[in-house]
Amino acid sequence: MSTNSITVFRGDTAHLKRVVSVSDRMSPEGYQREVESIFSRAWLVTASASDIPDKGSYIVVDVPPKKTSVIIVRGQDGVVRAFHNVCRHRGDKLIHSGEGCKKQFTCGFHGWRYSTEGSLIGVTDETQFPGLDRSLLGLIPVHCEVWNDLVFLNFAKTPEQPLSEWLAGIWDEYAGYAEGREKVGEHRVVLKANWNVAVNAFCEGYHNMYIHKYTVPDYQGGKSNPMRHRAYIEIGKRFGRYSAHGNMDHKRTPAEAVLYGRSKALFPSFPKTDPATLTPGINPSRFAEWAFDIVHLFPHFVFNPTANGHQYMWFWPIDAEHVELRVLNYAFKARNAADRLAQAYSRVRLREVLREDLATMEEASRMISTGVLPYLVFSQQEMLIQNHYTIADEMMGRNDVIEQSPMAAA
Amino acid sequence: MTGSQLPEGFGDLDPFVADWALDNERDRYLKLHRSRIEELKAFYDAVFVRIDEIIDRLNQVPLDAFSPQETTLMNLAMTFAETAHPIDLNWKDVDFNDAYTWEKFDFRGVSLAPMKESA
Repeated sequence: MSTNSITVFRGDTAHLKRVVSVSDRMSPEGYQREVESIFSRAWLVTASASDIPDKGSYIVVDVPPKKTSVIIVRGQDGVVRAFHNVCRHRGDKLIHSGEGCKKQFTCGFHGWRYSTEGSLIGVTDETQFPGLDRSLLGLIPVHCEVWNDLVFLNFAKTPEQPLSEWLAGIWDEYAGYAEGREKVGEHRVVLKANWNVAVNAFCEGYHNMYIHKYTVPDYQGGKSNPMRHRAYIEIGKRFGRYSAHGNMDHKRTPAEAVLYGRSKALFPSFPKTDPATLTPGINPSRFAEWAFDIVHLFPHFVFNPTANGHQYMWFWPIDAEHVELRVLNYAFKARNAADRLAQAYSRVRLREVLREDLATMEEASRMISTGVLPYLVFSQQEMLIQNHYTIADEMMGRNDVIEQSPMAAA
Repeated sequence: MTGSQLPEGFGDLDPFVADWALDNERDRYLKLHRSRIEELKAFYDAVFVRIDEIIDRLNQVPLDAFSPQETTLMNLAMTFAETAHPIDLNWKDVDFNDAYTWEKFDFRGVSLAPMKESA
């Protein structure tokens, strides 16, 4: 690959689509095709396993593209399972919202009771259902697998591959990354934007000199890398990831300097980190001036590890023109007040950076959906986006012919 | 110092307690966006010069063992940490051009909760 850049590329990049027609994906019909071919077949990151730490811990999660609500619960046997959040009797929502810890679930409508493993264990006034076979009336399961701190669901009747195959290339690489961390922020935003446009914005760093000039003017690149090329870009079968180059001359602002000086550096300060202390998947190329990674787990999830924290971002489509962004921020566990203040400073800097990213999405979605652009073109630095559409098109069996392509084939 | 809502030695910050000693991220965010930059700067300037002393004082106490006065001082410091960036970054206003509409941002879970000890 000819490239005047520090970027080290890895993986099968030759098959990637660099020029992609996008506008029809934003029509209701295009979106329906994505729901059927992607969201009904993919392994979807849905929750953080650290939110259900104990036997009986559960969390209720809406899955907008499937128009369903699920209960994800750690059973009394310690196994994490997922169920559609619906009572088998008359279809009421079994748990209305939130999270908690229970020995059993009781429907509020007529009091039917289910175990945390999904069995129907109690029917109010049961003699009035002559010959009822409870064993056929357990909660409706959803295929569920846990990978490190992430809970994946698959809504296919039978998944086409196990999660280990879906995550080929990174399956063994992230052990223990969430240990010693705690959740420090939880944010949500519903945007009038297409989910592809939203997730694409977090899959490249090409925008950050422009979009992030107010919130983090000097956090990446530096004198040796003025265009802020990615240090590392890897293309996998169902993921893409990159490592960002931290600016070693980043000038800490006054509060950042004092708060991180009393604790540990968090975003947008990037401490020199001995790669040997990181699990193999984090900073995979062991880049010396590493800032953070972006790991896109197709289709709708972005994992963002840094030296002392990590961030999860979900881009759940609601329909063709609405996306729900869910963000969870984590940092090293606070030992004292200084740590708590450092966590607080970083969650706000991340939040404000996010508000810069969000500012582009609604207008871009609106304009792309007009159909006036025959295609979008993506640079090598935006290779994770190329990968996003290449995977999407493979799953949808889509092979668009681009007339008069403005860029040479790979 | 009698009548102070803050630990001994920090009574000079009492005038900021009512408006700025807020116990969760959403309330701090709302306060930030409903303040003028001059008000924010006055609060920043008052706390910034004391922040090392505040941390020295609060670091002596486990996070789950704060007295009411220490909790108030911590909340004041947390609001400082979460509203410092416009002053730190020399913004002309409490928000910046082209930011996504601040009213649409939604806070959940830990971002609504008062500070608690680490698990």
